[in-house]
Amino acid sequence: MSIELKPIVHADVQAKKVAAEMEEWFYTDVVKDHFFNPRNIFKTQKEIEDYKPDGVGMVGSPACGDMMKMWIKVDTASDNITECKWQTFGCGSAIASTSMLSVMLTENGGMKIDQALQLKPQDIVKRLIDLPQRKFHCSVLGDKALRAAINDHFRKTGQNQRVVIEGAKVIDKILKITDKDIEEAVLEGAVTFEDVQKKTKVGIQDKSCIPEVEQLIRFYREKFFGGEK
Amino acid sequence: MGLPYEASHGSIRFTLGKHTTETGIAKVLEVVPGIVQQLRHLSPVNLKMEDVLPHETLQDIKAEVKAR
Repeated sequence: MSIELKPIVHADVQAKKVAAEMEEWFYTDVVKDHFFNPRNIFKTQKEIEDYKPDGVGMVGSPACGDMMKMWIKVDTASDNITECKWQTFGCGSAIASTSMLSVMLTENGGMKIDQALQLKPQDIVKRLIDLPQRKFHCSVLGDKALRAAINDHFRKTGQNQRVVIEGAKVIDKILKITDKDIEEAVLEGAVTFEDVQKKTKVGIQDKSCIPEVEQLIRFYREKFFGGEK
Repeated sequence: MGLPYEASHGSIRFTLGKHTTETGIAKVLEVVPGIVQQLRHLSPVNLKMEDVLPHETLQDIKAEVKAR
């Protein structure tokens, strides 16, 4: 007869663990407010059809579980974004992030396009006070939809030289792993080179790319998490 | 359930058991439709069942619903 050994978990330790998990999924009042009362949305389907935007951008797909569409109006003289409407298919954090982004773009008479292009996901998170760590990537899609809408505006107004193309660059030449793959791994929570390698297999065969990968990890950590830790 | 990603990402699956009450179901029917309506209104995705399901699957489901 065998004796089954069960790990003994002290009540305090257990309580702390539960508290830590709860804290991770804590939504701030600002997030909840923007989820339940989203700003700058269309009221009716007709309003969408009648809307005359200067730029439209769409990113994601229903298959990947997140999709975002953004409409912007631009004042040509000042290069300010004066209106921003949006639709989001995704979680509460994604909806709150887009809503907050639309407010940031249009408050105080509207943001300059050049300034809007500098916006980072962490700027949105800061205005939301915070997002659970695992929900950080939800704030990135809004940023991408905005860039797509701005590019659309540039193309429509003949400012093609201002269009920003975000292309992927191959880093690991044997397994053909790009900077986008590394960006995704960092967004999914990878911190160290080992974390990223576990997720992407980068640098296992093509060891020459390791220094560049480490540099990219620092870059994306800084970009999305403000270089903390 | 063998459905495509597009269908599952826009679905809610309810599981009923012996502890499910009629009051509980009534509450769900009272609250959920409004939430679904709001989320659909906010969403750029406008897929119909016909768009995501193979024609035969859809026919099977319709036949099964009719038979009940």
